[in-house]
Amino acid sequence: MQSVSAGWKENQQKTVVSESFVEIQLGLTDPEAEESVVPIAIDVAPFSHPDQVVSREIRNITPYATLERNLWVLDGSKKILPTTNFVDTSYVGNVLSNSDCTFTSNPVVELTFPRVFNSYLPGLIIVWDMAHGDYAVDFKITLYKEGVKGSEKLVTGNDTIRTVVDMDIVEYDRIVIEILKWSSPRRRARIARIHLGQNITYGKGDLFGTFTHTQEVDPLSAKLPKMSLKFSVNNVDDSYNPYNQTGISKYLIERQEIQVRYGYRIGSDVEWIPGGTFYLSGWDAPQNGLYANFEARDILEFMNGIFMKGVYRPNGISLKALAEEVLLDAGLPERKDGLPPWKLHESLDDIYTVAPLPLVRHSECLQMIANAAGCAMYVDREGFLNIEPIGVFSSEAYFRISGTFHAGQSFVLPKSPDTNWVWVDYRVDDFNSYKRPEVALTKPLKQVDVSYYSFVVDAEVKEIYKGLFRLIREDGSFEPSITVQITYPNPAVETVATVSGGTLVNARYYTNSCELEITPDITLSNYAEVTIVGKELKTSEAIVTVLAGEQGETQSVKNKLITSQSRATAVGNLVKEYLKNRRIVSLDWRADPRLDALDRILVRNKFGVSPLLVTEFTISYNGAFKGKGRGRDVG
Amino acid sequence: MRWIVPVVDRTLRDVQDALTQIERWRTQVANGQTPTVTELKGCLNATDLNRIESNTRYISEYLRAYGYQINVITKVDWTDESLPNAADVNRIINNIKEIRNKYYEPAGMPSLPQTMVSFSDINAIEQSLLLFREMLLDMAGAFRRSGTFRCGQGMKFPMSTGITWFALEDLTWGDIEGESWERLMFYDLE
Repeated sequence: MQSVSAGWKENQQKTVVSESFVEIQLGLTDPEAEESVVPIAIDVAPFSHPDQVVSREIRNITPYATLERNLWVLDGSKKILPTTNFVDTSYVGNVLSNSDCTFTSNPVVELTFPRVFNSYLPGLIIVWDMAHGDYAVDFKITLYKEGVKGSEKLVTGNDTIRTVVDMDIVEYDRIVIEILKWSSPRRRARIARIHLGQNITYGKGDLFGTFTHTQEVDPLSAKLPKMSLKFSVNNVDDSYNPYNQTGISKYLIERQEIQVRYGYRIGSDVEWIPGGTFYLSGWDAPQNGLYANFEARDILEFMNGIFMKGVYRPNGISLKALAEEVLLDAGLPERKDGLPPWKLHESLDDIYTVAPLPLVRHSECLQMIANAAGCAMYVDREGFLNIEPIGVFSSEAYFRISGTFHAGQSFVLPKSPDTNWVWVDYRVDDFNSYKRPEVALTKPLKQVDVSYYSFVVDAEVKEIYKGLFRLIREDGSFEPSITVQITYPNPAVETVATVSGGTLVNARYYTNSCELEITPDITLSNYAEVTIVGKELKTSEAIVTVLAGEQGETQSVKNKLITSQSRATAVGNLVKEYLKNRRIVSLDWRADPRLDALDRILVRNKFGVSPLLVTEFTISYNGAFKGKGRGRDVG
Repeated sequence: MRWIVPVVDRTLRDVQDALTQIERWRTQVANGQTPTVTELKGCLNATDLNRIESNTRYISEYLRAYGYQINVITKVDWTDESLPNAADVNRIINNIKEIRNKYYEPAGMPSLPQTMVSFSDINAIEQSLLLFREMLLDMAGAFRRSGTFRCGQGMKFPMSTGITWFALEDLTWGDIEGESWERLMFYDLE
C-alpha cells in the first residue's frame, strides 16, 4: 500500500472526496537508442563526467566552486572541489566563455550510436548547468548518418536551463551539440543531461473515456503477475493518426516508458502518489474515432525472451543467485536511479536447487523460482520486480493452543501472529461500496501433492545433436563468422561440440542448449557440420503429500526447481495454508488508489468485518476513482 | 609583498544582490546585449583569493623578518580558469592558524571557518589578516631603539602605532614622495 498523509486518509472518509487527479507521462524516445548512446566530449574540465550526460539516472549535479567569474556565490550552496573522486558533475567544458559570452573554441558534445537509428524522435531535451543556473543562449544541433551531415537546427536566444528542442530526428548515428554562446562571461559550458526525445504529459483533462490500471498477483506465484494500464486520449485533431505525418504517431515505439501518478487535492495543495511504471505495448487510433487508445505493461514486458542458459549444478545454487542470472540475462532497462530493477528477498539466499532452468521465458523462470521459494512475485509502482514471501495464513492462525488461555481471561481477538489488524486503515464497507461484496467458495482441499525432482547423469556418452549450418551469404561470399544457438532434444551435460567444414572459435554449453561461434574454412565447404556429444540428464520425480482435510480436491504442484523433500514439504504447507482460506471475495467500491495487490484490507460483510488479502483489482478513472477487485478472505 | 586592503564587511544582502545581478546579466545576454560583467562582492573571485593569499604572505614575511618561524605556503597567481580544491582551501585556512599559533591571537579575532563557502567564512579570514596586520603595526611601533630609554624611566606601552623603518627600507624617496603622513602611518607602500 502506498503511504499517504493523514489528510489523504481523512479525505477518504468523506461522502464526497476532494478533487482527484491522474497524470500520465509518456517518454517519446527510442529505448534502444537511449540505452546504446555513448557521449563523446573532448577538452573537458578535470572534474567533468561527460558519460553522465545521457545517464538515465536522476542526478543532482554537484555545484562545485570554481573561480569562473561570479560563480563562487558566497551563499553556502557551493561545494569545494575535492582533490579526487569528483561526484556528479556531468559535462563540464574546459574552455571559458569570452567577455561577450562566445567561445574561442566552441564546446562540443557528440552523442554516438552503434548503428543508424531510423526511429523518429520529436527532438531533444537539454538540461544545461542546473548547478549554477547557466545555459547556452545560442547552440546548434547537427545529425550525422554514416559520416554524412544530415539536418541541422540552430537555436538562438535560449533563456532557460531546460531547453526543449523541437526537431525531427531520424536516420542518425551521431548527434552533435555545439555551444555557440553561453549565458555568462568567463564561465565553462556545462550540460547536466541530454534526453533523447521528449515527454508528453497527459492530465485528467486529456483522458477520454477509458483509464484502467490493473494489478494481479498470486501470493504463491502459481501464475505470472500482471500490472497493466489502458487509457485513451483526445484525438480530435488526428495527432495520433498514423497517416498524419506531422502528428505524434510516428514517434511512438513499443517499450517507451510511461510514468503514472495519482493525486487528491488536500487543502490547497495536490498530494501525489506513484501510480506505476509501465512500458508502452500497443496503441491505436481508430480512423472513425475521436480518441487514441494506449496499452502498457510492467517490466515483465521485457522478459518474453527464452532463457537458454539453464545449467545442472550437482552442488546446488541458491535461488537468489539463479534469479540474478535470469534477470541479468533479460537485459532490463536501466533505472533512472541507477539501482538494479529488482528486489530479491534475502530468504532466497538459503534455498537451493540443483535443477537446470528449462527453456521457458525469463518471466516464467522467475515465476518458477518464486514458486519454489514460496514467494510472491510482483512489480511495484516504482517499477521494481520483487520476489518476497507474503505472510499467508489460514483462519487456523487465529486458533489458540489449549492451555494457553483460561476461563475468565480477557484478550482481544483475533490474535493473529502475522498481522495486527488494528492498524489496517483501508476498509471497504457500506460507506464506500457500490454493492455488498460477493463471496464464492472454492472446493474443499483434501491434500497438496508437491513433486520434487532428482537428476541422474547417464554413464554413456552419446550423440546429442547433429546438423548443418550455412556459412555463405546469398551473394556467395563467406560470413566472417556465424553464431548459432542449438537446442538439445533432451537435457545433457558434459557436452562437447565438434565442427567440420569450419572452425569452432567459441562455445558456451548449457544443459538444454549451447551457443557456438564458427568461422568458415573456405577451402572445405559452404556448410559447417556440427556434432554434439554428451551425457543425457535423466529426471525422476517423487511426491510429497501434505494432508489438508478429509475430503475434497487434490492440488498438485509441479516445479522442477524443487529438488528436495524438505522444500517440497515447505511449499506444500504454504499452499495448504493459503488454499484452506476458501472464501473468494469480490469487491466493487469507490477505490482509494493507494491500494496495491497483496495488501491486506478489511471488508465488511453482513455479519462483521473480515480481513482480505487482495490478489487482483482494476482501478478505473473517469473524474473519480472506482475499483473492482478480488481477494481471499483470510479471517 | 604589498598589503592590499581586505574586504571584511560582506553581508547576506551582498550575496542576494549578486544573485539578482547575475540573473539580470544573463537575461541581457539572452536578449542579445553584451553587459559589462564585473566581479561582485557577494562572490569569491580570483582577485579575492589572490588578495587573501597575498596578505597572508605579507604578514608571514613581516613576522619572519622579526624572527618568528612562520611557515606558510601561498599562491598568488589564481585566475578565473583556476580550480582551487579542498587542499587549497585547507592550506589557506591553515595559513591563518599558523600565524595565530606562532604569533598571537589578536583580541576580537573571529573563529576560523572550516571551509570557504559563505560570506562569513571569507569575512572571518580577511578580518583575521587585518587584525594581524594592525597588531603587527602596533608591535613595530612600540619598538624603542636601544639607548633611548633607561632603567627606572617611566613610560607607557605601547608607545605608538605607525610606520617603521623596516616597512620603508625597500622604498625610495620617489616611492613615498607625495604620500600623506597618515597614509605612511597606516599603510605601507611597495
